[in-house]
Amino acid sequence: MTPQDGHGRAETGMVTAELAVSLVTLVLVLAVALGAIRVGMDRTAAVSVAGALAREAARDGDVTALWSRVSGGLPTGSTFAITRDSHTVTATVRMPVRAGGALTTLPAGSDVTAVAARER
Amino acid sequence: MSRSRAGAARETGGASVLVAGAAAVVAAVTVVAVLIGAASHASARAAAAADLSALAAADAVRRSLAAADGADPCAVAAGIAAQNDAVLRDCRVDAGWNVSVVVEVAGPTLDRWSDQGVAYGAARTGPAPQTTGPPAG
Repeated sequence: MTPQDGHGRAETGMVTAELAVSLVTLVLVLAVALGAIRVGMDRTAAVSVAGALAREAARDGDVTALWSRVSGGLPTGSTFAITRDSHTVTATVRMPVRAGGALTTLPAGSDVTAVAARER
Repeated sequence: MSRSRAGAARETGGASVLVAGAAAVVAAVTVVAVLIGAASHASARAAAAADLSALAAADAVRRSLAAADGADPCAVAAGIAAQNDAVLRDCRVDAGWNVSVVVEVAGPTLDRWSDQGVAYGAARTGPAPQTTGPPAG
């Protein structure tokens, strides 16, 4: 074996190592991108849920019963809150951020609100 | 130079080019997906804001018929639209107590000379079509 041969074989291994490292990076970037898209989809789904909750609360309906019917598409662990003032009702849907599967739900939350006029 | 050395020299960087190309594709697809998602989100918000504004205006109409409350239905609609981060663009109350509203929500745009794209939402509330008089109550 000449020193040159040894050198050449070492570089061939470097190409494989380079490919392995960069593919792992690429997969991580892809996971982050998919996570961001999923958060956006969850927020879009929550917009109509928050609107429905606000409408129901505005006429003093059973918001909890409505929530159990419409929250199926939201991430597990999503919650809602209703706040009322003299003229308006605000429905807030809070979702955990799920990124890349059930195992990686981040502690950060994502809020969507809707405001309706109280019907009197 | 041995053949293996020459081959390795040609291959060096090959992986980087491959992965850089794949990363560019991933980035481009992500940008498109995020723009479509943002447009869809703006559209959903506009629709919800239009619904809530129209209902608020309808309730104001009902109250103004029941008692001398005095709240302008379109002013009420504009207030609710604003609280839902939307802008009331059109509001009409016709003789049959129907209220039509159009609201606008800021959305994404591909046009670099435009600040923001917009999403529109429209909603109409009022008595059922066969009703000839004002709603009871």
